Amino acid sequence: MKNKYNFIKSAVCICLIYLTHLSVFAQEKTITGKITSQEDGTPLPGVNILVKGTTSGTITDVDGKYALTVPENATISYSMIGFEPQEVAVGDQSVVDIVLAVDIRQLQEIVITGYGEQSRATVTTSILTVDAEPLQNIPAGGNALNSLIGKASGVQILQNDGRSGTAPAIQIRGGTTPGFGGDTPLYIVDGFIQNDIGALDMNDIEEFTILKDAASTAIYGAQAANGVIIVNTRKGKRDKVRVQFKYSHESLNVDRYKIKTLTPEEEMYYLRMQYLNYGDPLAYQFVSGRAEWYSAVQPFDPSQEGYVENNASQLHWLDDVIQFNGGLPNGWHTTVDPVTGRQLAFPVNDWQDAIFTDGSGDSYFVNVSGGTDNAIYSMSMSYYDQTGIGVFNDYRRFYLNANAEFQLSDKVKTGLNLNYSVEDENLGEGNQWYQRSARQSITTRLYNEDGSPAPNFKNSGKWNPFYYENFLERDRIGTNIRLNAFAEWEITDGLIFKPSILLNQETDNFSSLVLANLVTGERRDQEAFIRDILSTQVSGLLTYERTFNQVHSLNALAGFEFRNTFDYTVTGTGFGSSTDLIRTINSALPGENTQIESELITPAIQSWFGQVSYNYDMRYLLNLTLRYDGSFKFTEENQWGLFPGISAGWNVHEEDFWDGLGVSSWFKRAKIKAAYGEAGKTAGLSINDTQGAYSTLSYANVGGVLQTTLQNTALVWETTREWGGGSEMTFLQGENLNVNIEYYSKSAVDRLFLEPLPSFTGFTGVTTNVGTFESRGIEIAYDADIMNTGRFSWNVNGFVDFLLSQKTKKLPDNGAEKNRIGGFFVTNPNNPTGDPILVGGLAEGERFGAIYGYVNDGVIQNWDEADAYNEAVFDEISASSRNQRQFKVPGDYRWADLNGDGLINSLDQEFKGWSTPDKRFGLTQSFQYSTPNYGDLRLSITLEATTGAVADDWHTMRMIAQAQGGDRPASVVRGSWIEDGDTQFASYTWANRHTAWNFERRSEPFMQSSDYIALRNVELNYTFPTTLTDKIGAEKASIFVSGYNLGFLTDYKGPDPSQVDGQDLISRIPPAPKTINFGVDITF
Amino acid sequence: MRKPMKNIFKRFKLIVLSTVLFVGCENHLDVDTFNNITGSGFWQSPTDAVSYAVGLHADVADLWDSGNNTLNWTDGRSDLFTPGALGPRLTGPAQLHTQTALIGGGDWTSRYNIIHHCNLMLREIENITFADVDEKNALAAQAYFFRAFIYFDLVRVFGAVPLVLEPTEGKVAEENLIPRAAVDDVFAQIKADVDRAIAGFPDGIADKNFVSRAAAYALKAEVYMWTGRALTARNSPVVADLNTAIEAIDAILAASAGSVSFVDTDWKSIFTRQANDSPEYIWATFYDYIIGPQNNVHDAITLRIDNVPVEMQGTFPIAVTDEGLNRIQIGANMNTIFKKYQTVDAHDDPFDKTDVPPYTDRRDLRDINSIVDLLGDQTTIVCIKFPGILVEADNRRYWDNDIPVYRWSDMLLLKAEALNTLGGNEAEVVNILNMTRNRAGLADYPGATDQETLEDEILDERARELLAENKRWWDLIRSHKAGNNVPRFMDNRGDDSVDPSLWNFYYWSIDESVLLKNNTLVQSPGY
Repeated sequence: MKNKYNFIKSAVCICLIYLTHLSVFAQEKTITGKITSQEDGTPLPGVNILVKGTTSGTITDVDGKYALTVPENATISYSMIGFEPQEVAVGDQSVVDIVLAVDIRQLQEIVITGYGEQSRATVTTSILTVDAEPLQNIPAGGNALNSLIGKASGVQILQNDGRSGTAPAIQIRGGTTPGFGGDTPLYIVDGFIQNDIGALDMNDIEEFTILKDAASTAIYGAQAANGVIIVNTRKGKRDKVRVQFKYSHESLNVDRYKIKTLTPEEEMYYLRMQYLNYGDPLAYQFVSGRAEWYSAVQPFDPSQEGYVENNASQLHWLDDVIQFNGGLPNGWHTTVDPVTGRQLAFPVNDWQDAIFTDGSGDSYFVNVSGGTDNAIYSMSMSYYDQTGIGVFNDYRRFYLNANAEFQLSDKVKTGLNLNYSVEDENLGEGNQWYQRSARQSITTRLYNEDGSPAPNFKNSGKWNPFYYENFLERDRIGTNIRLNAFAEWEITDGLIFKPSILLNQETDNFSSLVLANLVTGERRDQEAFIRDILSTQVSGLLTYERTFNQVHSLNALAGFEFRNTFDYTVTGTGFGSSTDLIRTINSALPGENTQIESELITPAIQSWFGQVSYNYDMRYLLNLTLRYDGSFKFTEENQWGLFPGISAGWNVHEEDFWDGLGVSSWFKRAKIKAAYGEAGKTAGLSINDTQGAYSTLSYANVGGVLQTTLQNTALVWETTREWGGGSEMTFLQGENLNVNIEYYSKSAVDRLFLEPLPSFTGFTGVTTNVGTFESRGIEIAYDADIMNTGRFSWNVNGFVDFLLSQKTKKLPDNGAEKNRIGGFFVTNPNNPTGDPILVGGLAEGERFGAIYGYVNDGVIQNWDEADAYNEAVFDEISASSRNQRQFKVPGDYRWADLNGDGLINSLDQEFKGWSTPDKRFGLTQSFQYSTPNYGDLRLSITLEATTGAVADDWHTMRMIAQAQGGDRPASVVRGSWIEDGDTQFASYTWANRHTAWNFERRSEPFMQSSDYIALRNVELNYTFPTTLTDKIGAEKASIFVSGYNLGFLTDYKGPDPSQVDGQDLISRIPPAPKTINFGVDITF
Repeated sequence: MRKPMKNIFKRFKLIVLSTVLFVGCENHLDVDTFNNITGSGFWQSPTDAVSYAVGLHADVADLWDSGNNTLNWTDGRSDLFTPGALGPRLTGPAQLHTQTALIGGGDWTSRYNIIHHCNLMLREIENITFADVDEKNALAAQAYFFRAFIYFDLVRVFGAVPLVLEPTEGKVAEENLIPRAAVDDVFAQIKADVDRAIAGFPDGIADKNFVSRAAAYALKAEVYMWTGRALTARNSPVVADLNTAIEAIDAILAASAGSVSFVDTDWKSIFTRQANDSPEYIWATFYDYIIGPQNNVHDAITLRIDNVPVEMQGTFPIAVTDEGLNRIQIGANMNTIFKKYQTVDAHDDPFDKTDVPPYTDRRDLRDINSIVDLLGDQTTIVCIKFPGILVEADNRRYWDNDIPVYRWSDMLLLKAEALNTLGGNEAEVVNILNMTRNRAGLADYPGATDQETLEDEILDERARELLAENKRWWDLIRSHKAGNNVPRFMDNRGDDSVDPSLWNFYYWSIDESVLLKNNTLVQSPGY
């Protein structure tokens, strides 16, 4: 499999070599010249100079000078961003000096607003743009969105899974769904809706545009309630041919996953101590029932009774080892068994070192782009190959994107775009290796005598992942082909019609085969999955742009978009193949063992939309949007929804009186804006939720049918209504300071929600439109050029987001207090002995995600304390567990009886905090030092922080609770109770854990604040001086080192405080690794 | 035939055309669904009702299986089982009899799901035209049967429960929340539904995995035994109910049209993987490891191989590698029960006449074939009654025996219980006891024949005969003797044969989540 892509690497290299030679042309004449700015006469470096009709050209040097060989009678074009382009016929001149005029229009930043674009100065909604170029070197784990972490105000991006290629969870402006993960925004790639941007190469992205408020997202109507992320891939410029080659190599480091361990001797001591604490060292479970336990001493000699070949544990009696081996094997340790006093002997296997292995990756990227008067084009190719962290974790991606636009006549333009990507992943067991690894004791057999991995199959939760890897063939290949074509026809001046069509095919292929092995025998489970999503879309867009009387500026568009999809899935499973050699299901036992299922849905969406932007003399701004969407998911009477957006703004600094205020020397620009919009959401909704569904099943060889989903024909669109306002301000001149302050208040009405039904209905719930949820917040974004001396510049860019409210506003009347849905009872903190109060679930006026837990009063130190405690309270929770232990002993936790009823049960919980943060910070600083002779050096540092959440450090808790003879004890176990005076943690033993429930209930000391400051990215970039790059014919060359997820400043003890919604998750999913790459980037 | 692939291209073509021509578009949102049958598409023909009745059976089989529910709710609470040596996974407060209002309460949603299906089928079947009205009645009878069957289950587990007789349509308005109905009302409904089922079914049993008129009579017998004994004080039974139960049992053989009979042969041969193989069976839920549904009930009560001493491996069915077995194991009481009256008259041994000298003590065949005392010290007794099948190629054992819900010996012993409770029928009672004893290789019942001794003996005989068939807990409650027999009940609750207030604890507390979703519910009494 690994060799499969070698040809691609070769192809990329060959293309590179070939294309760099394209610029070599016949030479006939050399001209020179100098280019200056009309405004102040300064020389302009970096002006693009192109011989028309050819691909040959050059750029000016730092002094604005250039030299170019041209054919006879050539026409030369001069262009530079921010200036109006010029063309000159050379004639017989040999020196051509040019003065370029400033282009007022170009100086203003253009913002994509969805189907159209608009000057930043006239935008009245909340649209954030993030330039992709500075993010392109970040080794963000195969998904471009990760590189936005900490860079986008109001956009929370969570990389919960450190696995390569996995998409982060994204929530814009607090979302409208309780918890985190139900607020995935809509993605628009090159103008078309996509499910995700997973396979896009970051190097091919020009810019991220994030539509945050409903007034801006209304243009995408029914699917846009969670915000919209618009991504455009690179386009060519009317300029010479450019070829860019970029290579980078990355290293992924997983030291963060490793727990601090005990010394091997300590570990043996704690493992063996549980025998004593259990009371009966010869209890049946340990002698024969749990022979594979790491704390059970194993016979050494195969002829001894009880010897089991390939036994997981390698803990032996020293005298046994010496007798049968003739001495202690190399590297083995010995220690005294605290139970018997005999000497123990064991090898030391560091499983963490073996399994938590670092990863590495290589990224190759080539872009060829350029343009002439009649055409522009860009082609990108890339290959990304990552051998991921740990076991079972490889990711490869091939990406190809080509687009071209042709000017057919003055009035007609046409273009097409081809985007193709292949993702090839070795999925293995998913993230299983992560949780299995940390739990392996040092005495667990890692390798057999012959060097092959030992199965450790006695305990399925702790199979040796290396062993399993040898017998698991599991691969996923995903492809995405997007083909679209468009035309643009300027019907009259300012009126343009743009029809377009799209064909999009996404496939997902998965196959899995478990080869015969000791763990699962000859069963050879097989699984295959193919999903094919074919979409066709037709759209038409009419735009009109005109300025009347020089002050009334109008920009309008109207359009439609029809999409039909064919979504077909076939899955098959089977087992019982007689051979490892055939890897397809046809080898499975014939007939009944093989199961094939298929699924087909044909979604259809129709939309009509319009948008009008008007401004009066750039002073008074108005934007109106309307979208009318129809979705197949609803019944006929509820099929259509209308989504309006309206916003207005005032550029105060454009007013005549502004100069009279006397602030204009430091207060340059002020815009005040306000917006209201509505957008819809249907994600997660199935047509079955409106129509109801019956599903088939089988019984006694006969097919049957049962109703599985209740119908709700009254379902309507979920609508998010959002009010917002803010101001954009620019202070100072030269070293600009821009400050953007925005306030938003959004509420989701008619929320789509699985409303719980009373149990007597026989259903857990029915999808209904339930109530209203709101989030409100303030976002402050700023950027400033703190220093710019020409040679040295220092720029900061950051944001502070405050979530003011995230709560349920209205729920259907159900008779409960606050119309609460779900929840549980706890003691009323204001009246402990009174009636308990209902908390949790969803309730009107309450924020989501309150965490409740027990109150830990420390460790019972001695029998006197235990007796007194037992006298006072009875712990119902531990008494109800399997080996009911009704009474506390020294070393147990003491739980507070909050309501004084003498019982410890779920009522004795108190509020601990919130599960999600409410304040987020991001700060990027860039320092650049430029010299003409030695090149440019740039350093950028991104910090990200959140505060306000608490998290249960399940990881540390587990490391203690599992220190019971089965798992590896972490060094924290040293702090657990052994005798009077040890106060940190409860006693660690097996007996203790299962009967007294000391650990597995939410409480201190494992519940803590998860506030953190993360060092998300540091990058050092060196650009070679042109004097040097000229020699190899390159336009620009740079090298860089960039780091991602470098570290946290936090009190939280677990591996990664930013993995929210953690609890159990934290111990099962590997967090993002620390990644560092270096690379080279050359443009010819 | 709908052709979705063609459709989208046809639409695409149309839309492209209309775009070029600036023409508006027709509504294309009315798409077809292909995976599921949507609400309006079902209930058209008699075959739909037939399929739905099959679905009902599958759902009940799933209920008996999922999470070892049935075993946990019935035998698991009795003295037959005790928490196993491994893992606390599926044993809980209800088995330990320590459940409280907050810990270990029950959730009845999955049972009401079956009630919903019955109600829906009973309503919709009225709108379907049947050529043969008997077919319709037989289909409706299945829905009536299951509604009665599940309510009988609910009322025994929870006591008073909401009585729901209409299918769920969606959201339930606050004023339509249904409170717990009185136990008597629930039983009135159960009895009416059982009689409707009996009337609707034809005679005969086509397939023992499906319910029948004979199964309906068996259910009727259980129901009347319950109202005749369990709901009244000890020693004051409802005579009419007991007589109705006896009549129902007597009607079973005729209703089965010859497919049910007492198997007068080796006891072990009764228990086969497939119910249809045994004339003893009246109705059993179907399981099959290959085509499903799979049965995960009996893996919980057996051992995995590494918990078995090497010398005993291979002598009885055990799991190969699967983890999590022996979650519950046979309680020590079973040994005592099996040992009682275990003398044998070799002349009466119908099966083994070769190797046993006359008048030698001999073990009950049911003892030998149901349990293994692993260490001989009664600490680890394993149930091997439903061994499933060992599939060498997969390196694992599949526990997929059909689970008998009703079989003839159960009914015979129930009749003995009714007769004994009525009094004056000692000869007939002993006769029934001897039938099951003799088949198990034991001599005639040698003990005293007074009513009280026989009451205990019938309980014991049912335990021997019906171990792991989910009868014991109900048997104990019918006699108000849970405390006397289940040490865990005695320790945590007290002696129910002298203190009627403890009868509250026969019923489960209901889970807080169930209470919160319906504010008309009150917690079960006593909690």
